[in-house]
Amino acid sequence: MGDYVEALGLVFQWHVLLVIGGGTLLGLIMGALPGLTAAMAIALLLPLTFGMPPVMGMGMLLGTLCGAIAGGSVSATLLNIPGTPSSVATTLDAFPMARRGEAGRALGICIVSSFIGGIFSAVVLSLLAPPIADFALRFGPAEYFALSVFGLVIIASVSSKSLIKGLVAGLIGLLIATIGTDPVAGVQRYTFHNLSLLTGVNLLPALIGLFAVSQVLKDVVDYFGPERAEHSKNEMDHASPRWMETLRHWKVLASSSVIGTIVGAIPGAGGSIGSFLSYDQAKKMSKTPEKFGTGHPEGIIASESSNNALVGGALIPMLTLGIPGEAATAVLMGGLMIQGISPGPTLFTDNGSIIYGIFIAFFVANIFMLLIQWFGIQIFVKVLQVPRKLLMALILMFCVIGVYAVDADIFNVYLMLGFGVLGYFLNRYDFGTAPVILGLILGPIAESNIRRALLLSSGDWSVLVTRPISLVFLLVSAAFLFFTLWQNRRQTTSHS
Amino acid sequence: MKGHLQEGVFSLLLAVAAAILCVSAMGIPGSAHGSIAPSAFPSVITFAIAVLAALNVIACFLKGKKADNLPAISRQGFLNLILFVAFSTAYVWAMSVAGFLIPTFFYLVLMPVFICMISADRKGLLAKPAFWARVIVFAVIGTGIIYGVFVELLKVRF
Repeated sequence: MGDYVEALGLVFQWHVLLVIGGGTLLGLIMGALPGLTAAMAIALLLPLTFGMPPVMGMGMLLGTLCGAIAGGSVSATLLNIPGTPSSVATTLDAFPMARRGEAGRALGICIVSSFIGGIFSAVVLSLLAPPIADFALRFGPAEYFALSVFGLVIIASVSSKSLIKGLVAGLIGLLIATIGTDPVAGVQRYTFHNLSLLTGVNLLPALIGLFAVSQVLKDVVDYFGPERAEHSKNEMDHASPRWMETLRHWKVLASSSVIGTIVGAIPGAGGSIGSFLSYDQAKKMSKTPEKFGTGHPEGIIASESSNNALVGGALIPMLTLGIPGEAATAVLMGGLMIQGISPGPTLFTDNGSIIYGIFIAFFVANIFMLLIQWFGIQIFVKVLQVPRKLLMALILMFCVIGVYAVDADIFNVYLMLGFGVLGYFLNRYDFGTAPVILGLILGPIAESNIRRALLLSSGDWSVLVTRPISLVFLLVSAAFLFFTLWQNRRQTTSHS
Repeated sequence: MKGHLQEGVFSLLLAVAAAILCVSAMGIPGSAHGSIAPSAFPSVITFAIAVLAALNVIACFLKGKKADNLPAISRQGFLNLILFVAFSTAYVWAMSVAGFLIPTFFYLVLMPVFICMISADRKGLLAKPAFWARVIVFAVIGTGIIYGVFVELLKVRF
């Protein structure tokens, strides 16, 4: 209780609230722009959190995440282009509604559904995270190693259509994590006599390169399409929150929020899966399933409440176990680590006020998301008309300055460009970039814990299978690997 | 070159790079001390990357005879990528030599011009004075905002 009171004091200061509101606003703007993902939005704003207290910095990034997910509905509604992958299902009904001349109504339903989904997941996060962290305190080095393997296997399996490619991407992340001075023996690995690499690869250039620069490169390579503004011809009526209309469909709202939170908490499941599952469930529950896809409010409510509920769900494994579920939470976790805080169960015992501050900041971010969308929706509509050529120039410059700002080392900027090129090709050939970041984050955890476990067991490898929790994680990882292999094989057979 | 062949070449490059790094990892000094040696983790990882990437090369070439769903990067696309990376690298280098303000201003002016030049349907924009006016205003405002946030507010020194 004392931690909660202290946390309230950390959040409810005018400058902290201002920063959370600013992060939410920027997230909404970036989410509204097609092609700028939530992960990219957080990566771009990461450099601004240096020097901020942890709760303030995390509050800003959480606001960005909530805003980006909600902002994705703007372009989904007006342009039929999902701003973020989790808004794909929103296009199915929001765009037809907008084409009928009811764009304001569609956005009004999106605003309320996003808010309720977000608040629901925040409540679940606050209630479930402490007992899970309490359980995870029993983990020793063997369990942590097995947990890292589990996290990597899951994300490598689901983030690419091919298991081989997903694993290669995850392993590249693990390999990059080995660069620098070895944590146990103090030996240099892959430093190539470069002083900047002695302490390892800085997380920020990797995050910004893989998620922001790679996206800019994609635009440059494929830059032959028309400007966005040419698409934006939809009439906008007044877009205010449609409380009564949304709450009338409370069953859809509740079931989609629950589905979104659960899917979010499963590492690797991702936003589009959650919103499509909720959409499908809402269609099955509906008395008028034939109206889905024609501009039906229930379809919008299902997708939007689910994709915002996903955020709170995804924070559960990230904060309690240190396992980010997908790209955006991986970047968020990177932000927490850059602040000098390692996510995991000990965070709850060692930094109680910070963790509860993060929970409260998440509630506040959702409230800001509602208010900013309520009063500023017209701004986001205008954002869609920003010329792409100016935007790309600005984004790359922001990446360069942001990475340089961290420790004034120009080498990190070149490194960021290198990661950008790598990320572009990994995305292009469907290897994915999320497993790279996860490998980069989990690599040191996996290596140091396996070495510690072997030291404690005098080099006996059976420690990994004689401890029940470790055995369960390894068995589930193996089962998941075989299931994915079987699924890939079945798909290949059916295609041929 | 078709999409799957490009992917095959990329995987081959990955496999070769991983194999070289694997050999290099085996030379990392340090003993196990009751656990695993510092060279063990990178050796195993690079070996696994090399094997998996080689498997993907085979998969790509086997897939060649079947339908190819992967869109290939065009020659123009590759050229755009190389030019963009070279341009951005030059900006970073210029910033390390000449400081923040002048390279950033010129970068913000030249980048939209560069993007117009690589886009076939927008080359005509370059002849319009309004385009140049807009780009210069954008560069001045952009440089000013970034200068304000990073140099004045966050005290970053270039």
